[in-house]
Amino acid sequence: MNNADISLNIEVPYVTRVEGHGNIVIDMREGKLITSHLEVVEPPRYFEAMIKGYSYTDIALITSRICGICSVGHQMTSLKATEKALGIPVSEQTVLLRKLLIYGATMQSHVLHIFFLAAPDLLGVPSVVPLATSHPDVVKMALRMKKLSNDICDKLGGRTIHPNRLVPGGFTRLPSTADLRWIRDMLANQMVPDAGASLELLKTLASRFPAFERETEYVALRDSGEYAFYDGDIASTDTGLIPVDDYLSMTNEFVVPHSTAKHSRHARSSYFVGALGRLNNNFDQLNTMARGVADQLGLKPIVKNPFLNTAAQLVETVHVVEESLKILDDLLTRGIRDEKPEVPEKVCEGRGAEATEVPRGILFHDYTYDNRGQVVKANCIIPTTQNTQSIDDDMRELVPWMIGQGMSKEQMTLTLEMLVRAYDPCISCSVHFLDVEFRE
Amino acid sequence: MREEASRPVSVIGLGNTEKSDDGVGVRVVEGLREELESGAWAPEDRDVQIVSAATDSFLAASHAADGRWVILVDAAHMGLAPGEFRMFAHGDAALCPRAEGLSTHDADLAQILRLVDGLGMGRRVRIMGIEAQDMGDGRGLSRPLESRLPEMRARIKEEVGLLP
Repeated sequence: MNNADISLNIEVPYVTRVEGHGNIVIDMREGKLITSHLEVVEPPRYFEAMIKGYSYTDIALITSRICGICSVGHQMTSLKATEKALGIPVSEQTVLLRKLLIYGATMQSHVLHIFFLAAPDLLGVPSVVPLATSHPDVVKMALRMKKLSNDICDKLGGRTIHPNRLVPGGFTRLPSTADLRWIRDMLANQMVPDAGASLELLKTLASRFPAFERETEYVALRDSGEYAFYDGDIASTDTGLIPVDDYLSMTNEFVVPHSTAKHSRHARSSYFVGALGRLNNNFDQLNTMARGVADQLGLKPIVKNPFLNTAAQLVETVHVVEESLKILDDLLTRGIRDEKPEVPEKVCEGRGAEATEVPRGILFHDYTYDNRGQVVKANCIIPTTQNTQSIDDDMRELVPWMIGQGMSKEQMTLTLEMLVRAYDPCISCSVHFLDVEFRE
Repeated sequence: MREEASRPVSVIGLGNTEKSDDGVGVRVVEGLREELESGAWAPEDRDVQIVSAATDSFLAASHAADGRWVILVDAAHMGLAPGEFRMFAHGDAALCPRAEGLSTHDADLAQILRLVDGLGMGRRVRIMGIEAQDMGDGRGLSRPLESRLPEMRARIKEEVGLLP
């Protein structure tokens, strides 16, 4: 059939297996694509306005509530921005423990997405529930991996979700040597073999990812010393490095009529953040085990298939496990020092913008404080906000590609849903506005 | 049977503490965690893990799949007076998906329990449902729930002792 003959209307009023509410709308008339986008329909959250007037000691605890999945990432980015604004130093031990927490949160989120949100599509079932009877060993393994990741966050942060031991300048309570040893043993003896089994499983399913590609710009933090999660400059596959302080020149947020989430663009009409963004910018910094996983999954930059973001998440899962083991060996060799959080003698006004790589991509928090240490202005730019335009751009090319593949409407609908899920969007997080006044 | 007698227990609090009484499950288990860490509660011959799961219902499945007893603590609509609570075995009551609130990322508890059932672990799940009064935006529990937190913790400790 010639594309010029085709009229197509696809509406998915509630995309399942993503966080939050979004709709897919495709309208093609006589071969002309009129509409192809993801409608984000959640109301704004107003977190930036909510925290105005609050003390610097409260901000990270409040902003971690932006998300139940990325609460560690929000808390970490928030703490870094506050510390930068107010000149609060942190120790090397604090940084190592924070990295361990980020790695644990990344494992948890990636495992959740790979097995519980994406795998049902690859195995041809509507949700993970039927897999409990058809693939019980796989489900048990995934739950085991998720539990361990959550337990790591619990032992380091005091809670599995919304940790309460992290404060500006350090930790209110430090993990014991026994805790660190337990985490190390569990990672080495349980997570490593489970990650290996996950790779074998994903290799058997890799051919089921749609073979769709689209060239775009990939953005992630890049650290000169390691595959960046905790720190770095902003790297673009199109334009190179810029400092985090200049993040607004990267994010360039704008509004569109069909979405309550803002969109972003930089060198092109959109850019991609997340596991694939990191892998495409930092592939040379993957550790040995992770590089082997990437090789076996056929991932080599520049990977242009957005569906392979899920495969990149497995590569990163292996990477953070190996990095965690290195940090744990380091900490266990040195011994945990009984450090108290650094507290500023006098608070001066200041501004700090910081970024962290969270599971879904680069996350920015930017605070301005007055001389009482209270927030006067805030801005949080979430990975999914940065990806929404990329999803729309993918859809615009994916629809004609699917028609060219001879897909039925049902297959196209599923493939569009798979595309949205591949980004692992956190739609609730993405719905933010700079300020109450801005919206009105 | 000896192995069954020493089976570990996870007490998992669900809910959003920014949504008033919806956060009661988290409040209850945070209190239990304090008792456990201070030594005020020292379960005999039993490994007890306290989990503030917030809205991550998958934790119920991951702990059940790990071979542990699971006691879920959550706000509920059961037609009781606010603050009343019931402990029941999974399977003794029908759980309806939440009308709103929980993110689809986390899945609702009813779906998670179907997953647990599929793995053959459903018999190890107990649920403490607590009748809520106010599920609107805001921190803090309503008075009927706040005043009964000690009773709720006591009932859970009793249940831990009763589990085979």
